[in-house]
Amino acid sequence: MIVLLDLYSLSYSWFAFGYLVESVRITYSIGMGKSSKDKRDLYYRKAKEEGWRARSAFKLLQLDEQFGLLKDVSRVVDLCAAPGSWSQVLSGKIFTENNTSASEDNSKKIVAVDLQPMSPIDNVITLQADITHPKTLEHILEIFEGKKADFVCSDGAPDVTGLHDLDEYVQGQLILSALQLATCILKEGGTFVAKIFRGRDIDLLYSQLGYLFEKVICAKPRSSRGTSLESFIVCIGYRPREGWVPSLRPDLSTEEFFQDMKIGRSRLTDVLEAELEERKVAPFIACGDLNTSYDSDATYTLDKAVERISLNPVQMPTAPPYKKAVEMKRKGELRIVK
Amino acid sequence: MSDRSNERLEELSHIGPICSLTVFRDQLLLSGEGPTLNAYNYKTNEKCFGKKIFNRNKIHGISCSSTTEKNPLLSIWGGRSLCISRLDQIKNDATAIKLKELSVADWIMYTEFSNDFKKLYVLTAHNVVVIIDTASLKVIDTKSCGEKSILYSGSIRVLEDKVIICAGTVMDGIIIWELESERTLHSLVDHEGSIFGLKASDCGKYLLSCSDDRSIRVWDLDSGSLLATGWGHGSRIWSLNFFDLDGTDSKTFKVFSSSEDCTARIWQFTENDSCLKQLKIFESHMGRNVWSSAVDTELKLGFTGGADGRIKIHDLSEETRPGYKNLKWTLPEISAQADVTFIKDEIIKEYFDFGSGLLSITSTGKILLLNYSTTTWNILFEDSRYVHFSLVKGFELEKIVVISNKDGDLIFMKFDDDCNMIKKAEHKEDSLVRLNNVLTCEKNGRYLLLLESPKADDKLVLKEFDAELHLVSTLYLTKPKDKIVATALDFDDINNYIIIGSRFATVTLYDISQSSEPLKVWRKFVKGDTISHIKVLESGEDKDKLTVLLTFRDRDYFVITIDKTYKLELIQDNKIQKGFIEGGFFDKNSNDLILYGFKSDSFFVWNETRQFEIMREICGGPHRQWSFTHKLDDSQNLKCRFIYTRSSGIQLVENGERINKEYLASGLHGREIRSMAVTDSSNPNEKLLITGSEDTTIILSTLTSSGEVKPHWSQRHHGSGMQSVHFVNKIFLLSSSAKEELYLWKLTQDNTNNYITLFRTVKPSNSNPDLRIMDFDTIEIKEGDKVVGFLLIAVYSDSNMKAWYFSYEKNTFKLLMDGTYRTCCILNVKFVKFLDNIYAMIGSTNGYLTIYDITKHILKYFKIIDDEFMQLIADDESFEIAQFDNLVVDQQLHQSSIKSFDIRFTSSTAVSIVTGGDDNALILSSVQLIEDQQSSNLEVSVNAFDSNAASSTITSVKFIDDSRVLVTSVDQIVRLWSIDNEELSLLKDEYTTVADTGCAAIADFGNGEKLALVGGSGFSTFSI
Repeated sequence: MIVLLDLYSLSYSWFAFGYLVESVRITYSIGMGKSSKDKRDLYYRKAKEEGWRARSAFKLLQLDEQFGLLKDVSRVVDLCAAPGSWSQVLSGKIFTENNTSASEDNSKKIVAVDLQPMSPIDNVITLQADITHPKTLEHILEIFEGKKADFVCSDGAPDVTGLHDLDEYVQGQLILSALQLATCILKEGGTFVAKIFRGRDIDLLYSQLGYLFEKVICAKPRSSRGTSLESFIVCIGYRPREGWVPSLRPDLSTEEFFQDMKIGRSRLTDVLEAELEERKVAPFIACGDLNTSYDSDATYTLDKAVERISLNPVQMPTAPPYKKAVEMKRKGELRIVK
Repeated sequence: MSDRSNERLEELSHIGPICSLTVFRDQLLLSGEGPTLNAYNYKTNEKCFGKKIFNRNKIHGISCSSTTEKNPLLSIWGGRSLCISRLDQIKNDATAIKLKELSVADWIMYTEFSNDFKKLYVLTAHNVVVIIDTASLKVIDTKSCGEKSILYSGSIRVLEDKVIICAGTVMDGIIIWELESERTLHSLVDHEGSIFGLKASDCGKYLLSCSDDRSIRVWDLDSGSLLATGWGHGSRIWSLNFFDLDGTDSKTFKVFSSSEDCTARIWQFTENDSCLKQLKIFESHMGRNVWSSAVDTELKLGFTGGADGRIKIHDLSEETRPGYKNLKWTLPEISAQADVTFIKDEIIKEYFDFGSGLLSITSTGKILLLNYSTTTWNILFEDSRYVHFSLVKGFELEKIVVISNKDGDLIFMKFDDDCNMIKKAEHKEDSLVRLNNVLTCEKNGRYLLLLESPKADDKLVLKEFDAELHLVSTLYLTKPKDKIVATALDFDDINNYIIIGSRFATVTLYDISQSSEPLKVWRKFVKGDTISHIKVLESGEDKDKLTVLLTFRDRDYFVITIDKTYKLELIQDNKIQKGFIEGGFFDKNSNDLILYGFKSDSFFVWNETRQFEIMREICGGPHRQWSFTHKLDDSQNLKCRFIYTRSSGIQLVENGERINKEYLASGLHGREIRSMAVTDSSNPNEKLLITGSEDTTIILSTLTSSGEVKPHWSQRHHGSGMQSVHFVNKIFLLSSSAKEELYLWKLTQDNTNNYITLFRTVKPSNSNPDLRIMDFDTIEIKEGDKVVGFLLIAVYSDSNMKAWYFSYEKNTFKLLMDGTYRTCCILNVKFVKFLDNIYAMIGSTNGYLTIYDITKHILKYFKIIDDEFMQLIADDESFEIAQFDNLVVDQQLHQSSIKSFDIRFTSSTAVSIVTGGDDNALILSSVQLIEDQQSSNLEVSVNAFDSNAASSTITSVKFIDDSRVLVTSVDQIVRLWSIDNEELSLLKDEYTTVADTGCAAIADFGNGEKLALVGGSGFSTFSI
């Protein structure tokens, strides 16, 4: 089922970021299905073999394996969901493994939201919508029939620029936007999981999340490369702030949404004070069994016969904004002619 | 920051991404380098001052209240931080008062002063403008157009009657709104993807924008209509500037842009032309990303700041500079000027640039002269002996031109500075069957002409002339046995050596004072094709050392030495990224190596030492007649003249006077530094620094105790991102990268230069190598007192481990051990010796510290003699490949990857180990050898650990001395830990602006002067 929301005022929103860097930008220039990439990254090959839309499916599987996140959950929201591999995992865990389906079990619901269109996934309601918009929240609540969610997750990442401070800031904003929606829809005691970059200010986020959840853990699944700054924040046991009522309004920025929440975020003061914000280190947990899970940094030797079978990606990449420039370059139209 | 001691940890220097540049009055350029504001005078090329503005945040922008006032207000911003201050206060208070760091509690996109400077408008990343009173530094108001979506770029234009906000969103759109009314004026949606740059013109008429779609767009700010679009950048565009825009009436202007594609470009806008036309490309940064740019619109200079930390100056109006020439003549034009009639198909065949003019010859033997000062063509004479085949060569310094034909008729002509022929002489060489090649060489008043015929039996004729065109001598040199075709010639007038270069990488040496037979021929001494240029760099009286630069008509160039025994040694070999090198020289002023040649459709002149392009001419490619000459002008700048034939006409380009130097800061790597190592230099005040980067290059630099880095060579042999670099000793070093590359390099220092050459590579195990070699370690091997080689152990991304013995004499890597640990990726390795035992200690992605006892395999062939060396005790021919079959320790320390470890011996049987992990933990453990009569065992104990030693991945641990460890981590904090009494305690920590903090090294300058070097996205030195 695909529900298209009113796209009014979506054009300036930024959650097209939902697509994965590793599945779009790289593959567009290099091309998918190369066996060298299959060898360099066994999860990449395995994802194709097992029908996952992106290798990141393994990250959620390993997080679940470690924390039992998806046990007994009924209503879940997958934010920045495209191309949909986490929704695939959710669908498998919530429906398939329980030998049921969305049509049979009305009490269980998975909603996947992204600004990008997504191909349908069994048992998942996909919304092409802006997660910062109040209408999106309304719509999810409608689907949940007024009930709150057990689990909210986001595997979104921006298209990085290479300026580390800016990229970390933008990723931080993405997490805040997901958290913003989570605070509106998550039940008390619910779980929030999001992708983070462990950069210079990650301890600020740990500290702020500490006000909202009983447990805040930084988890690194073995399927996430050791060379990447990527990790996942696993926030267990949502504790709504006392006396604070979330209100998702189109005229409020994410900064303004959180400003009265008293979670240690600095706010604009009349004298432009540069407050020292609280920093806290969250405990680190590596997930995925050391002996049975694959190592995403290791090179594996593929069986010669296997190597020769070139697998097509499950989901083709969407056209990037620079498609025209690439075509012009190919035609030699970008050169200075004298 | 913690400070529990008298420990020092002070940043001395930083090279890293330059995120903002602003041109200020009196030729002052303000540059944001990390949290530090640096000011450069680009007239004198000096750094005027530098001041740290923010605690942590990098400076992303600088606005001035006035560019003409002597002491204006500056608004400096970066991240959430803001500083408003007078220039003098920043300049003078180098140490005194700390500037106040303000915050608007959100990321700042742009700031601009009001016309009366009483207000500052601050645009945040949520499209909100905070209005600040610049006197009281208090918030007056906040404004928003109602659309608070997140921005990637912004620009504010303060006009007489209104303030216009331009906001670039992360998805396709640009919002233009008016501040006072908070009314949205336009939503511009022609771009695709995030808007990365916006700039409104001073007059408020135009807006420039760029986005992820790689186009630049020009908009009419009033009507919101799209005026023009420019395509050309190969990647994302980061910054835009206007110039040549004179007021609101201007119907044309130019744009200066900088991009992720490592270039800066000039564009032309013309009213009613929807195409923003690309005019010029500057290739002048390393790696990726030119983040910032600025323009001095009066002097027409462009400045770019890159991820490589370089600030480059570009001449945006070279064609208007004194001395600049760009001339072309078609054949009819030449014919008309010279008053000669060309017959059908007559072309200009050959020419020689003698400094004040160009002498050329046509296919029917007309000798034409182009006078550079009058820029007119004349006919000198016509000579039927030179119909069809002729060669024109000469001696530029003495303004002598020689024309020759196949019969050996040589006409010499000498010119003066005004291009008048002042002497003419004829000579004849009739010993050759057919003269088909002439090479020349001039040195200290001696003029040599080498004449060659295609016939193998013919001699090479070497004729020497004096400046008066008299023949001094003729020598008949015997050609080497196998045929050569001479392509390059130089003369060592101290030793009377003639050096001839030819095809198939062949060098022939003659000693003309001794014999006409070749002294030595080196054939295919390197992989390469035709030698395009030979230049003697240095030679000694005792013939012991001749140093020669060779360039090849492909990407390669070399520096070789030839000693008394005619042993040729490569001391420098490298390649440029693309193109064909036609020649090269060391700039006398800077000692930088300058190379020139062709790439695709252009001729280029390239500063190889500093890695930037000096000149580029789109000439159509290499297949044409051309001439290149160069000299240093009066202000010691390089003056180049390139003449070429195109569509049978002649074109001439000559760079004008440079009013400024080429760069203000030289920079280092363009992408993340992944590994570095330091060794002693022959200069006791310096160290040699090797850095290996994600950009696939390794750079050899010198490092001073004040933290200054001067790059010498950027080696381009590796084909993938670097993993590790280590020195074997002061002369040899190894580097490893992906694609199973493991390279041995040799350093050579002479009086003028430090050289580095690829000495040997380790053969990959697979014909299609795809393994990463993560790390390696070495032990030097002696035979008697002489160092004869080293033991090498390397670890791989597929859990493989290999050990070799390298013999300097045999120049081979002999495999000694081969094996596999598990299926994880091994990240680091070290040899450990206890008494008569030797071990390989490894750390992997599984978090285990693992030790293999390799004693019985290694001690078969080697003996441990001391802490440092081992002794070779067997013939390496007898070596057999052994397995890593004795795993003695396999202890999990960390939850995931051991990113780095370092060891320190506490006794001859015990070692302290500090490990840093991806799990933020720092662990102090020890391994001890326990020996009894029956057996010897290793005992591991964890003595101390801190699971939250950093808030992110620990990437490097390095012992500074027995009691202190330097630790770097991705949280951008550099920490000093003490390990006294088997306890870990934090001594001091300091924030570093080096993001993706990945590697560290210690440079010990003696007398307690130690530097901690930190690398990542940038490079910083700390005094410890």
